Amino acid sequence: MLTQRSRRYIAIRNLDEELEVVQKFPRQSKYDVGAAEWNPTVHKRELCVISSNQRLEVLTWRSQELIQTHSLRAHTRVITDLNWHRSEPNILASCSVDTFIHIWDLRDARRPSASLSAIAEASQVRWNKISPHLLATAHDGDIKIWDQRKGTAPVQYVAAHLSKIHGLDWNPSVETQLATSSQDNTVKFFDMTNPRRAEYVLTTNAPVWRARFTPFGNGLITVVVPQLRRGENSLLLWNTANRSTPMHTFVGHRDVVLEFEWRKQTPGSSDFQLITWSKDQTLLVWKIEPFLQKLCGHEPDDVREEVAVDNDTSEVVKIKKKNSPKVQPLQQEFSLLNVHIPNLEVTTMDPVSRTCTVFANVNNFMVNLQVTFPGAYPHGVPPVFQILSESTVNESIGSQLLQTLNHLAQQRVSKNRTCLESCLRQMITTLEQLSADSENDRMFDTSYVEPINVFGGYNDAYIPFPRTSGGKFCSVSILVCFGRAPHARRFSGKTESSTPRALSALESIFTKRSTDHMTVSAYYHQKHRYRIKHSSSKNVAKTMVHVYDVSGLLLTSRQLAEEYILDGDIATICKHNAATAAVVGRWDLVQAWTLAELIECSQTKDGLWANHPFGNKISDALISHYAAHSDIQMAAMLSCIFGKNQNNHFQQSSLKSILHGVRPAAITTNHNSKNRFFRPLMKEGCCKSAFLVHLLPTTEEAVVQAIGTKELETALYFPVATNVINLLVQYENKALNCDDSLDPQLATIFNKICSDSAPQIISVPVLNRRHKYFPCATQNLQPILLTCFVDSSKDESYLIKLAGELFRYCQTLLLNTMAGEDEERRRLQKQSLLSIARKLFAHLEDVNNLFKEILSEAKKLTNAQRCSLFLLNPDQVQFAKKVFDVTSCTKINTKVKLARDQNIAGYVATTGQLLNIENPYDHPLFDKNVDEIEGVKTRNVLCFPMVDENGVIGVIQLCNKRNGNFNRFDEEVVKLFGVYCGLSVMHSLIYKKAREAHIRSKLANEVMIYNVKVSDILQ
Amino acid sequence: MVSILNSIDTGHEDMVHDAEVDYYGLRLATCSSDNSVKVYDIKNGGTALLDDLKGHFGPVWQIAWSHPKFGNLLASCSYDRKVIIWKEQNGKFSKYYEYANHDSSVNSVQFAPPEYGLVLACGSSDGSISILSYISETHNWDAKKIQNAHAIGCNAVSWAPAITPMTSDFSQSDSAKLVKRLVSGGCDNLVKIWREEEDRWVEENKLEVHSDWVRDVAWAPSIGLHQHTIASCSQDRRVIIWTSDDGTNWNSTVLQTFDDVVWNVSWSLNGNILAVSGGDNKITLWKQNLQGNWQCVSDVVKGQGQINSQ
Repeated sequence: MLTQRSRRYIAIRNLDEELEVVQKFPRQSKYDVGAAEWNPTVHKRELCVISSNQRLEVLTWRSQELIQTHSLRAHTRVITDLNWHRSEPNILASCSVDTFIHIWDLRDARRPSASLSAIAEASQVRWNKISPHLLATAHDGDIKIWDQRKGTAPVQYVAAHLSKIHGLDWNPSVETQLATSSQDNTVKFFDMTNPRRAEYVLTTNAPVWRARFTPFGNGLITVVVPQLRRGENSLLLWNTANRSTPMHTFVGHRDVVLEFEWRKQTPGSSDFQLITWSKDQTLLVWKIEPFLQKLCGHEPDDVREEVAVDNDTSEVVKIKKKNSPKVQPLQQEFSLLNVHIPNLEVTTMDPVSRTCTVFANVNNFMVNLQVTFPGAYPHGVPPVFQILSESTVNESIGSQLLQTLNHLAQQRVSKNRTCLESCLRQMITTLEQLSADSENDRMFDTSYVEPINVFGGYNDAYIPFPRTSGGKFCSVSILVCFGRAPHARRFSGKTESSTPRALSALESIFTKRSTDHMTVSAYYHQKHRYRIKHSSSKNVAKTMVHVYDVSGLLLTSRQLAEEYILDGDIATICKHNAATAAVVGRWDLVQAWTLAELIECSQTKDGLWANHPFGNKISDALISHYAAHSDIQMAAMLSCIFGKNQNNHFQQSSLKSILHGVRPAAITTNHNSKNRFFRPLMKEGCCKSAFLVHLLPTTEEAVVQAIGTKELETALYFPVATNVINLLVQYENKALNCDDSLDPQLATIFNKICSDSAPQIISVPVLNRRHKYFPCATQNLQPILLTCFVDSSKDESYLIKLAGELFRYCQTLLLNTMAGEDEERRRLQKQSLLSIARKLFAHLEDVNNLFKEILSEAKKLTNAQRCSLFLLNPDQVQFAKKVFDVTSCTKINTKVKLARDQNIAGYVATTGQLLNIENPYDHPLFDKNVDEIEGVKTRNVLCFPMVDENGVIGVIQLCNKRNGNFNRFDEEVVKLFGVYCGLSVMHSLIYKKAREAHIRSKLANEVMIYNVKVSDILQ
Repeated sequence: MVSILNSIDTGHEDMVHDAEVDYYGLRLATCSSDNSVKVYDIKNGGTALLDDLKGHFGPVWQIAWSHPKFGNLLASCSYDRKVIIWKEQNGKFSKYYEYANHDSSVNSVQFAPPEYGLVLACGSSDGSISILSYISETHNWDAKKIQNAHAIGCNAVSWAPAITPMTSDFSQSDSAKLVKRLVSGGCDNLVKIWREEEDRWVEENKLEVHSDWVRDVAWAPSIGLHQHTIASCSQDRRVIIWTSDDGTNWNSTVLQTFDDVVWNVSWSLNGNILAVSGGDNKITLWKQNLQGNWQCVSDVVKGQGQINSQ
């Protein structure tokens, strides 16, 4: 007995009485029936329970009537599943979205006999098939096991799957084993005594809706989630001991299987029947053949004949019946078999035992194949192929062969066709292929040759209705169009007015029309065909394909591309291209070219119009207009034209970025910020390093303050003659060649800076046009800077532009910064000199102290290590000197002869000129003996005179400046210092003399007074 | 504006489902419900049948020519669940590779832009998309499969043009690699965008506006602008234009609701004209005007071999 339920009816079918009509019982409810189940026990087998939203209805089947006996209400939300107790006739469990699992006893149906609260909503509930107390529920991906004896809390909790569990089933023979089927394409088997890990996992290729154990052996039936609606092999039989491939596929349903159940075994029968209910509204009863039972490890006692019941139990009128064959089909197939297949020998054919054995010998492969035909063959049940032991094929080839044969057999029997002959022919083909493969040692796709030219497969409902017209753009300007002939009117089905969605629409229309041609063209030519019914049916109107040239629509033109020019002067290009466009008839382009010419070639008072803010915008707008409308040809041409001109003007963006970097310098005038030039300069110039050489014609010097982003501790000074600097004027908008032609003075600069390596330096002079900062400039044009790029990856012209543009904007800033720095430095210098003067004049009373002070201040001022002071003897002006040397605060007073031409100090003393000497050993005036006496090595010397109004009174000699040589600033400062020293020394000496004179006169006075007194006394 | 170059009587015994001309505009291939693929030489207006390719055992739904640098390859897909790649030698085509790893009808094939090498995408009614790549070192085809790309089935695939993502930072533009993307449409009413990440294909986007099966999708060729454009058409009789500036946020514009199911969209090479055809047997050409609205610029009435320009 079976129930089928829908919103309006409950249909009942007695499976034992084949011809009995379906009984339908109308229901008065707005809810669908959720779940339904007959009582499994013998005593109460007339009971059936159905769920309807939140309610359970228990129905009793009595005298051909279905009477509602109980109505169980306790759930507050929709009931998801219910299950009768396996042995107790009155007990029933139900679960719901409201998270409760209720256990009902029909003897007291007012309220549940027990309620289990699960927190999460339950989708499945199942009583254990052996233990009367155990109950399993599924909650999303988890399983809870409840024991009625142990209160209302779950005894086990299994985190079984990550995805939703669709189905639960207890093993009918193993008390603690449970199978769960899930969305994650797996079926897992759990042992409740050890629920941490799944005992084993069966993996399929689709989400599994239900997995149920077979009542025999260790088989399992699975069905895919119906919503997926694909894969004809949705109902599979597995052997749990061999989980790699399914044992059998039940083929017969035209749509997905919604539910299946094992029929209760009739007493005394060893038959197993599987009842399946599909979306195609057919109910099939499958007898499980003994060979299938064997596959699942079950040994059936005897073999019986199969029964296939096919019926349609819904209210839909459509009923299909398969013609049951009158003649024994297998016998017929055997008799019709063409046994003359090359390389194949049919050894036995036995229609009684339903077997057939063949022997094939292909290229050293000898195969003994046994084919066993199940009772239902060829109606959806394929024969079983078995390779017998006398074969000489290895396992992999054997399995490939079997796979091919099974596949083909399945294809054929799914359409209720016989398959033996085609299988045998395929076997030979496959063996030939396989043997060829094994020789060539490569895999080959074993294809079976089975024409499928008739629509109506299982998946056709999901294959889109074929397109019969279309337009495709191909190649550059080709449009290919195809379509139906104009008289091919669509056959209008009674239900649909527009083109159907899926291929299956053909089937539904043509089955009624009993047309044997279920093709797309038949669909369209239906009417036409009726008219010309008896003429050639092959006359399917001409199928024309048209190829169009659509270049006219595409804006880009081949002719223009051939005629356009891009070389030469912009005005010429624009004029020529405008004329070309006119020839082709593209007047819009003529306008654009004329405009482009205007933009690029007309001058305004500030220069080219293209550089004018408006000119810039209009060129951008022109290009983007054509780009946006896919006239790539014109957009590209304009880009080239404008780009050409852009070459003559520095790129706005990079200049902007440099100026942006420089801006803070203007605000702070901190000379560190001058280095901000370098970072953008290096980035835009794509070079390893960059440096600026300041050219100072006043002092005939070149200064380098920083290299790259690293600021030098002391700036590097190089002597450069004014005429060399002025010569740089000729390099306006050019770069210096750093080769032999370079002026040696400039070459020293580069050699010094890049002492270690020989990099590629591109040096661009920067000329100042109007600036009068350096008054010695004789021309209007004055070189002020050399911008040097080290190892730049950009070309020379780019760097010239970069430097030119940058300093066009920045040179004033730079010069002002430098001037500001200079002023600042002078201010500090003056301040320190002033304080020195104050100190010196404080020590006037003692010449020795004064000398000491002078020496220490001189060392401090110039950062020198040693200092000597030579005081000229005013009496012997030319030669004799008094030396006052303070090296380590010890005072050595010696007399040294200073000869004008013999040593540095002498030279300075006689000429009054300052000497700044690097590498004194190379200097002719340097006396090496001094170093030998003092045991030091002199690296550099700065020697300057102390002067008073009458001339040189002494010489101070500074040696060994710490870190580096004495520079221009040292010279500047010591000159002033010399004056202060001269004054103070002179005053000190005068003071000393005055004091001595005073003492002397005082002494004389005293002597005179004494003498007077004495003479008084004496008188 | 539009002139007819060739009119070919294909001689197919059943409906023609697709027609495509090769890269140079010299060969026309057609496929039909009569299980065959035919190739014609259409050079200089000719209509000579070059070859009749029989190898499929079901209606052939779609064909695709490869870029000529890989040789003259033609891919065809059929109801018989197979994809066959044919290779021309001296005007005759032979089976070069057969791919039979789909569980249902293969509805769409398209070769990837040649920058990615010889790569073919196939969309099938089994819901999956296969990407077949030719490994030139081993002369083998490597198949990757996007399982369950579309529930129920995949109806169309189309490759994104091979362009390097443009960044404002110049230093990165050199190192930016080409990323393979493709768009697919299916029976779940969705348009999905897929991106290859290392060895896998990941779903990058899911465009959800159509209310019925998506029948065809087409990614517009790039002309160097930053915008991506995709056209999709559906059983719901609408054509939708999807645009995106960054590849992640997509805006949809309904081009038009047609009288019948729309099953074919195709972009012109410069990406500004869209050819649309459907169950009403008409082919219309659409173009975006200066205001950004889509206008029908032409009406191709099939069978009469003329285009009415407006």
